[in-house]
Amino acid sequence: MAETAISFKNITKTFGEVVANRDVTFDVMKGEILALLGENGSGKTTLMNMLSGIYFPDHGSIEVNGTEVTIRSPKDAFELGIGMVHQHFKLVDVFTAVENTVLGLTRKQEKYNLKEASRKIKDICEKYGFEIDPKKKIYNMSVSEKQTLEIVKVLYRGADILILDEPTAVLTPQETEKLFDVLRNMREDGKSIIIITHKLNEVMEISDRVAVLRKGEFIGAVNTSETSEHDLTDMMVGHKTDLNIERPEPVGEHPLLEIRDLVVKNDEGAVAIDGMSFYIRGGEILGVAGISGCGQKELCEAIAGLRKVYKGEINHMGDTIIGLSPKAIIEKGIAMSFIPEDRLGMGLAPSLSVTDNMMLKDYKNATLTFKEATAEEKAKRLPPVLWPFVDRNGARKRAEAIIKELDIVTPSTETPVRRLSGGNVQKVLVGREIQSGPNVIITAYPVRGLDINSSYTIYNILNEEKKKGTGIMYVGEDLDVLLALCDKIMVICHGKLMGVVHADKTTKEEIGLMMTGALDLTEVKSDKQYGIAVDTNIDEADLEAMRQRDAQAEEEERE
Amino acid sequence: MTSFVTWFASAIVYGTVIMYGALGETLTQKSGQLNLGVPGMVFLGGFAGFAGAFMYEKTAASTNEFLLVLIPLLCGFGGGALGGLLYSFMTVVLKANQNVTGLALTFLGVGIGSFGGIYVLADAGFQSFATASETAKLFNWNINANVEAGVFGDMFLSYGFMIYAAIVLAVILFVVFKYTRVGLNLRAVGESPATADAAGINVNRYKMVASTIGGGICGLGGMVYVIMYSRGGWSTVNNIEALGWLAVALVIFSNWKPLNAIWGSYLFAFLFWFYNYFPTVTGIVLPTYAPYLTQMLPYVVTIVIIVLFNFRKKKENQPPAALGLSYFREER
Amino acid sequence: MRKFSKAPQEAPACAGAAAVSAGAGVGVKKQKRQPLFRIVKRNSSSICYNTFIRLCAIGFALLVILLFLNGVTGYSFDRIWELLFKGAFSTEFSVNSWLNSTVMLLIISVALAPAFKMKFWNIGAQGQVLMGALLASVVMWYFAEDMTYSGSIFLMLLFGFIAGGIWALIPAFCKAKFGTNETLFTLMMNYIAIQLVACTVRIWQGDKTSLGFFNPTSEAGWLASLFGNPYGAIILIAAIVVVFMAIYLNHTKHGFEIAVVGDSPNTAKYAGMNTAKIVMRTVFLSGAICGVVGMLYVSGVNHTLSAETGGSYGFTAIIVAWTAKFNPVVMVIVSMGIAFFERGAVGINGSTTTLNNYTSYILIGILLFFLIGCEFFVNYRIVSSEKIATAYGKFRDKLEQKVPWLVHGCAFCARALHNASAAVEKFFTGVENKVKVFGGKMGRAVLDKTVEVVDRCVSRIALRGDKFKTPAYERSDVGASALNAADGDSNTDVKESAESESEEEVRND
Repeated sequence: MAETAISFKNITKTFGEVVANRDVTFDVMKGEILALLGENGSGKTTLMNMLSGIYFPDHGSIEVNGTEVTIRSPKDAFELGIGMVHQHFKLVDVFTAVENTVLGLTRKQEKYNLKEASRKIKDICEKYGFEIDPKKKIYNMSVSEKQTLEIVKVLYRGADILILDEPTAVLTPQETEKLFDVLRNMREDGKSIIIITHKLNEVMEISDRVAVLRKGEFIGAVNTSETSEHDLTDMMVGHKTDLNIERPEPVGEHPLLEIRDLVVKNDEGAVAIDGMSFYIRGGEILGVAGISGCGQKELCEAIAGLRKVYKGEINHMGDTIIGLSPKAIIEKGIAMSFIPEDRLGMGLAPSLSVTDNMMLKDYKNATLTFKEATAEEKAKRLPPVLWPFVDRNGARKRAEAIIKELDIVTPSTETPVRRLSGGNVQKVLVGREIQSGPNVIITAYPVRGLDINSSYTIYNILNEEKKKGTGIMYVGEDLDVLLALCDKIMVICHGKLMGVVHADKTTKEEIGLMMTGALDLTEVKSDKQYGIAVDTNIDEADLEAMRQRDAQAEEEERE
Repeated sequence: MTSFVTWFASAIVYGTVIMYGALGETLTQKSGQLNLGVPGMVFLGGFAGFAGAFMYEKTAASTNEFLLVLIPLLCGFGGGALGGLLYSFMTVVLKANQNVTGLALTFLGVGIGSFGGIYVLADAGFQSFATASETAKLFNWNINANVEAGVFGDMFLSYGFMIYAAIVLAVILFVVFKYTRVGLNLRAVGESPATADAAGINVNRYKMVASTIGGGICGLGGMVYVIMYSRGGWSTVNNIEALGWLAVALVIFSNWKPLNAIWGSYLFAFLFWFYNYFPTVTGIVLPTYAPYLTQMLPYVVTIVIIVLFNFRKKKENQPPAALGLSYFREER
Repeated sequence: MRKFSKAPQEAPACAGAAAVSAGAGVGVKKQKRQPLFRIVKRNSSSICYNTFIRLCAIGFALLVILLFLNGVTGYSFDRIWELLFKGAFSTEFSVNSWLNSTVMLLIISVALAPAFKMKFWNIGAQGQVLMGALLASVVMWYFAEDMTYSGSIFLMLLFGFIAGGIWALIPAFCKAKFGTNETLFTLMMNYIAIQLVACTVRIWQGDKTSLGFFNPTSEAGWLASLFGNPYGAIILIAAIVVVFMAIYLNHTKHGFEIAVVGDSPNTAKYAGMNTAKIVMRTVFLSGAICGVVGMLYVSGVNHTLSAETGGSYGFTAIIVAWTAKFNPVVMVIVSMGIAFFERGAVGINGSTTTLNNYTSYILIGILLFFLIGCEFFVNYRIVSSEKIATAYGKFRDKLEQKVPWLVHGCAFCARALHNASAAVEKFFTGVENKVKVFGGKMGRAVLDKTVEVVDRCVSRIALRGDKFKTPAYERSDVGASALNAADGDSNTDVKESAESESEEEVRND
């Protein structure tokens, strides 16, 4: 009978209004690999942070090896034998591996002797099958080596319970295999390993048991040998909940933005988007689903001109916009709006007022509101570029109008935006982007962290835009919302397109499977054009109708 | 030949002052604190050391040789350390901006030092300079004066003990940084305070201690200047502030490595006295404005190095990554 | 099983703390002390509170200064204050000196404001002043005698401007293109400038013992008195610079770009701004104004050049600019204060033998430290831990039993104060906003009128209308038509302009 290593009992944790974990109770055994599975926002990382001492539970308790404990800091966790390897490494770049490992150890714990430490590291590596060069500097290491070092650090301090947060997110398949071998060795040694992950195939391969969280609640724990990817997906995403989101019929539907064979690299130089092709069509909302880190951020930035494109084409109504900076895109008259995920860090200037943020993109225009003037008069004006002053009055009027229309709660138009609550910040951002009359809108996680009312306001705004014929790309994490709001849903997995499906003809399970890479629909009906649904539910009649509508729209445009 | 030796000798002494300043500031900067108050701390140490020695000489009936050496050392170190402590209190506890605090410290340090110096002079009867001559004699006691050692002796043995102490200090710092646990932790604090914090190191404590001791070492430099270079004389015209800024330049020039500071400081001092000795050594007469151009060289060289840094991507030669940034662990 | 019933915000973040609830089981071997206080960053703070803290700082600084002077001179506080005042304001000369000091310090601080707003640490103000002085001196030395008064002054201003600007541009360029640390770079440039100036002085000095005044007989290039005040022109220039900078930073496109780049470089890039160009342009301007100060020193104050021109103002101005946080009114007040202490110290020095010329350094240093230190109370809040809170609660309960009126009275006063300060803050913020809006409207009206006038002139000059065709970056017709199709769009102004623009484009085509 295996002993219990860790026992969670009725753990609850709230951040303000958001309940991150609600009454979570389950056990982790010694000598097992447990996979902690759940979507974004399910509370897995928060739960593990409480185990490793970064957060403290509001209610409930944790037992280690049968005794109840209080873990108030990472140091406490270490003393209990718990070690966590985070997604963001905590390493000093210019130090060597061994220096990073012994950093912070006191004289009581061991004498300062790098040679001794190197030897110990080599012992650990041999025991479990790692490969670390103790003398190597961190900045010379690859991502997988850094991760290995983090694991070694934890083992060096004598951890018996290891928590790995999305360990394979940064690894190639080969490196993942090596890691799994190591994990198996550690399990043989009696250690308990908790892996936080999304990837179902890896869960099936490496774990002994799987615990599933959904929206902060514990759904259940099953033995891996007794379950399947389908069952797990079911537990992960649950049944479809009915949101009352309106979905007007798509309008127009001729393609506005064409993406062809796009290859984009991320900040670390790895390939984030691997040869994607799709259309963004006017009058339609294209949802983008995918596990966080699958490349959505890089995709949005590449289209908006904020990230270099390695290969491929991006055409906006026939004009190529690859290589153009955001300024050039604006100057070219391309009406494309990007509502970034990072509201206060990118979309808005946090210390500037609402008014100032309203003119962020077109402050170079001399007047944001032209007086009534004849064409000749205007023609004789100085080019607005030469006029030195910003038109704050115009911006203020714009701000007032948007505040009224979107019901933004703010003391005045001059309040710095960082003082507004999350929902209102987003409304300011969305309002500004929409008022410039774009014909393509790219938005990433627009309702993240928003309350219900603000979220619905955003959905309504997007629907209004859709009715005007704007093409909208909506990157979101809540599958229920995607299914309700979007017309089509594009699923990305590891930078590759898994398929574009019609929202009213697909299911949450199908999307879930595509997100984890278990289902690839791109080859199905591969003779269809990209952007037209390639799922199995569309039949020939539907396709023909769509083709006819397309041809009609193109003719109308030519007129 | 003798003038070259004199040139060499004066460069060594002058350079030692710069070296102390640079070593102190290197220690401070290794912990991530950019203390632009070096001239202030050097001045404070110089003044404190001088005042201590002068007062002792004046008030003591008979002077104890041991105390004559100890008092200026303690006072010099203490004066500079107080400056460093004030700086670190402002920047670590009150989380004030480091640049601005450092400059204010320069201001205050130079002010207190000059003010206090004149105060002491007034006490000595309004002379334009005063000397702590006994102390100076002791500090300047050297082997060469007592033993016949020829040119070698002139060049290498004719210095007071503080000169050699500086080199020893540089070596000690080198060993501490590279081979001890404390040095490792300190470097981590300067490179990535978040990582150090996560590893359980008390970031604030390391910063404060490093800044205070670093300030003290800078103060020692000031003390050396007054007692040894000026032979214990304090006058109303002082060159100390310029030395402070040369020390800051030397920290960068030496890549934050104490061993480099040794020969770097001598090089800077050598260049400083170029205009004076070059003509006598080579017989070439330099124009009268030459001193200013040659004294510019250390700064020009430092700038070149700063710019070149960005091309030499070798990470070890970069300043500590978190230099000048305040660390505040946000409430989780 | 214990239930932890703390409120969510009280999640502990104490350094190294590990409180162990008694009897709750084995978790940690040692019982560590929980820190008594915690520091939390403030989200926002009211104007009232900010001003109150600053005034406290000045008050404490003043107290320390008085104590120090008392300790050294033995005078009473009254006498000290009286002497300070006399030193600053008794004679016309001293008032003029005070004005001059204030104004020079002010101009440099104002020059530094835009660079600091962009988080570019321009420590090289002293060097930029010196380079401006140097180039202006070159004009005075070689050319002024052959030029008219206005010609020489204009040329000196120009040279000073360019010299200071280039001196600042060099480090800015390296920062923008290579990312070099500007603090150290600008600092080193100071000392190179000092040496260049000293070298030039030496060359010009030749065999004389000192350089002496430039053009002493002809007074060529000397800045003349204005309104009867020898520093009149300087004061005028200072006023112009302050007003210009206030307008530049708050109302122009450049100022807007500076604000955005300084606030969030990512946002600036997202908005399409060329961060490198903006940094270089702003720092050039910053250095250029410092260069003008150098010229003013040479031409209007000292009439000669030395390595001490500008003195320590370059450094002091950094602290003034930083503590004032880009608020020109505060800059004026702080400059006046510092100049006051500088002049006042002269007054005190003269009256006693125990002080000396360096008194002013100490006085100003004390003031600066307190100003810098008070920032902490503006940015952070001290939160007491549970232990203190419970102890305080118990103490208060005991008090309430014994002297209830005292406790209630205190509570009432505290509440009243809180409400009063909240009301005052609301009032001030409201006034500030209304002023902004009103000022904006007024300013817009003035500008519109100016635009009309300029239009008329320009249209007379313009030969062909298509020279001023509206460029392509105005909205595309798709967007405009999309807007046209929308009903009930409350942003009527935008819609109108879109319509008229698309019409215009059609006509122009």
